[in-house]
Amino acid sequence: MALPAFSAAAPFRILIVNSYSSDWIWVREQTDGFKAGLGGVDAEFRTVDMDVKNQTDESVGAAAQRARELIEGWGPHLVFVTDDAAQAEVTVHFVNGPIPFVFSGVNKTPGDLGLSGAPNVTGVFEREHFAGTLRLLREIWPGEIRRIAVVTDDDPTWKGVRQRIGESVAACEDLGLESVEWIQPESFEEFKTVMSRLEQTVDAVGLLGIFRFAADGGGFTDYETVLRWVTENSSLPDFSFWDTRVERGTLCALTVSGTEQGLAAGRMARRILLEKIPPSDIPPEASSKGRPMISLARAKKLGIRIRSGLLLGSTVLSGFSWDQ
Amino acid sequence: MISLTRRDFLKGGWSLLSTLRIHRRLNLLSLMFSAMVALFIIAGGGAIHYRLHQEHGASHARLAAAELAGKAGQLLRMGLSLTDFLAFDEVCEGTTANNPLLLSAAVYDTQCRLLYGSEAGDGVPPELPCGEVIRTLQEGKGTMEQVVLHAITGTDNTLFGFAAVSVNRGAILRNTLRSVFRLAAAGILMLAGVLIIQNRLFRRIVEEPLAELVRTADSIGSLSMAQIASLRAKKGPDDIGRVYGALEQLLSRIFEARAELLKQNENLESVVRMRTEQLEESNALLAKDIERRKALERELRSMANKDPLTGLLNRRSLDIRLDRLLSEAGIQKQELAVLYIDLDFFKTINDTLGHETGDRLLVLVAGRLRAQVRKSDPVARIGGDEFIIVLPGLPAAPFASRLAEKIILALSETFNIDGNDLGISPSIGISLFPGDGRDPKSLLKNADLAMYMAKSRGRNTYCFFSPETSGEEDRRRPAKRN
Repeated sequence: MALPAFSAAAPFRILIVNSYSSDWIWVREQTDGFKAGLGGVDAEFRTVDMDVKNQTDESVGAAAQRARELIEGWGPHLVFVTDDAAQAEVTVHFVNGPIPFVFSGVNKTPGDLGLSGAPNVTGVFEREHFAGTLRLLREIWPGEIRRIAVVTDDDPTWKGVRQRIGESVAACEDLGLESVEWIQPESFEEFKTVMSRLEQTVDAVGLLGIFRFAADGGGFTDYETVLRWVTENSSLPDFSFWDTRVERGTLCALTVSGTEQGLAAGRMARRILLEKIPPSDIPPEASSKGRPMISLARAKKLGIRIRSGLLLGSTVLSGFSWDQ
Repeated sequence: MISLTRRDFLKGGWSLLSTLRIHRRLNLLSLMFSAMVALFIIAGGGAIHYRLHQEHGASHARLAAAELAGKAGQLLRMGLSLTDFLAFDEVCEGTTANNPLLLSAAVYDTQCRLLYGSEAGDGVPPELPCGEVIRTLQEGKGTMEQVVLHAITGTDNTLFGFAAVSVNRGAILRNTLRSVFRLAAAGILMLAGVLIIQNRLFRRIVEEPLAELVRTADSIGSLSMAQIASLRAKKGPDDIGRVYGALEQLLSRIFEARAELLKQNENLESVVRMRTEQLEESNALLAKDIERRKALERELRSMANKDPLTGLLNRRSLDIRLDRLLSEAGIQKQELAVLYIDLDFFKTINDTLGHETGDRLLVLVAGRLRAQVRKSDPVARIGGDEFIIVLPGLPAAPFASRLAEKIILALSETFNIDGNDLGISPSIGISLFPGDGRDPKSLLKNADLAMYMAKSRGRNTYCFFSPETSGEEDRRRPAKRN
C-alpha cells in the first residue's frame, strides 16, 4: 500500500476525527496521548468533532461528511479516529484504501464495526476493567456485594461491553456474583423508578450507558443530571469504568485511560509514518492498565470510611463536579 | 687446598647468607606493622562506618517521616481530618516495612499524643515531649534522640500533627559490623597482597642474588675465575652490587693466594721428590752392604764352626755339640757312642802324592763318612786324618759296632784322584756314655785309646774302650802321635 507522497521538508498531515467533542476530557486525554506517542513527529493536525452525545443526527452526519471530504481533499498521511461512532461514519468508508487509519477508545468488536481484515486500519480497543472495578468496590464497601445490576441506554456501543462483562463474570469465579441484572430504561423517569426498586433487590449498581435517557421535554437527559440524581437519591454503591463518571459522583471505577489508549495509538502512527510499516503488520491492541478512582464525596454521602491505604493508592475526588 | 679456599670464602660470605634470616625478621616486623595499621584502619573505619550508617539511617528516617507526613497531608487535603483516617496504622506499617534501617513509624496530633503507629512500635513512645518536639522542628533539625520528626500540615500550612519514624539501631549496628567485616577482609587481602609483593621484591632483590652468591661459593672448587662469570655481571652501584664487588675482590685475592700456594707447593714437591730418590739410592746401597756383611758374617761363623777343608764340624763345634748331647742323654737316661776314626798310613800318601792329593782324599773320606750316618749325627774332623762321629739316642754298643763296620766297608773301596786309585783304611776306637766317661774330654780320650787298640790289632778294624787295655794303649799313643 502506497502512502500519499510528501516532501521531507513538509510536515505530515494528520486528520483527527472524534466521535465526541474535543473539549471533553476523555477525548482530550486520547488526543494528548496520541501526540505524545508520535514522539515529536512534525505534523500538521486538523480535527473534526462529531460530538454524537450532544448533537442531532443531522449535525453528526454533516460532521462525518466533512471528515470524509477532508480525507479525500486534503489527503492526510494518517487519520486518527477516536471512539466507536466515528468508525462507523468515517473509517468504514476508507477500508482497503491507501490512507492508514489508527483508532482508539473503541468498544465494539472489529466485526461489529465492519473493519475485520482491513489492511489499512489498526488501533487500540478500549477494554473496561469490570473485575478490577468490582474488586475495588468491594474494598470500599463494607457490606457484601453479590447481586449487581447494570444500567445501559440503547446505544449499540454497550453491546460489546455487555458481552465482555458476561465473559468476565463467567471467567472470574472469585468475583462471587450471584446475579447480574441488565436494565435498559427508556427515560430518565423510568431510570429513577428502576433505581428505587434496585435499592431492595441488589447490592450495587453499575452505571454503564446513561446518555440516552429520554427527557420530559424531549431529547436526552444530560448524564451529569442523571448522576447527580443518583448521588442524591441512591444509597447503593455504584461503579462505572470512566473517570468522567467518578467526577460526577459515581463511587468508584478502575478507569480505562484515555491517555494510555492515545499513547499506544500514537506509537502505532509513528511506526506507520516513520518506519513505513503498513497497518496490517501492526496488530490491534487492547487497553490494559486501569487507574483506581474513588469519589470520596460520594463515599461521605453513603456514610462509609475508606481505608487510608486505598485512598492513598487511588485518584480520590473529594467533591462533585457540579460543586467546582 | 680448594676446601681451604672455599672455607675462607664462606667465612667471609656467611654474613651475607644470614640476610635470609633478616628477611624473616623483616617479614615479621612488616606483618606486625601492617597488622597494627590494619587494626587502626579497621577501628577507625568502623567508627566512621558507624557514623555513616547512623547518618544513613537518619536520612532514611527523614525521608520516611516526610513520606508519612505527605500521605497524611494528602488525606487531609481529601477533606479528611487527622483523626478520621481509617487503618492509617497500615500506612505507618508500610512506611517502614521494607526498610530494615527503620524500626517503626507513627503519627501524633498537635498535643503530641499517639494517633497511629506501626505494630512494631517499640521505637515510638505513646507521647512525645511537646516542648522538645516544637523546639526541634523550629530549629529545623527534625531529629530527636530516638525518632525523626516531620510536621504534618494542610493546604494552608496549618500544623495538624507530627509524623515520627524511629531508626533501627540494631540494624545500624549489624550493618556497621558487616562493613567492618568487609573492611577487615579487604584489609587482610591487602595485607596478604603487600606481603606477597614484599616477598617477591625481596626475593628478586636480595634472595636470588644471595642464592647466586651461594651457588658461586659452591662453584669455587672450579679452577679459574672465568668459570664464575655470572658474578661479574651482577656488579652495580647498589648494596648488592657492592657485595658482589667485594666478593669479587675477595675471590681475586683468594685465587692469587691459591696460585702462590700452588707454586710453592710445586717447588716443595720437586725437592721432596729429589730427596726421596737420593734416600732410596742410599737405602739400596746400605741394603747391599748389610747383605754383604751378613754373608761375610755367615762365612766367618761357618769358618769358626766347621773344618775348612771337608766342611765337617771342627773340634770347637764338636765340643759344644757333644757337651749338649751328653746333657740331654743324661737327663733322658740314654746312651751315646763316640767313634774315633784315624786313617791308616795317611802320612805316606801325603809324603808320596803331595798334600794336595792328601787333602782331596780327606774330602772324599769325609763325604763317605757323612753318608753313613743320620743327618743329625755330628761328624767332625779334629786333626789331619782324625775324624769323630757321635751317635746319640741309640743302644750305643750295637749301633756303634754296626757303624764302624759300615765305615770300614765304605772306605775299603778305592778313591780315584786324578786317575790314581788310592786305597785307605780306618782304625776306629769306640767309647760309650755313660760307661766310658760322662764328659767330652774323657769320652774322646777313651775313644782315642780304643782307636789305638784297633791300630795295635792290625788296623782296618775297630775296638771298644776297655779299661784293662787302656793303660798300655795310653802309653803307646803319644809315640804314635809324635
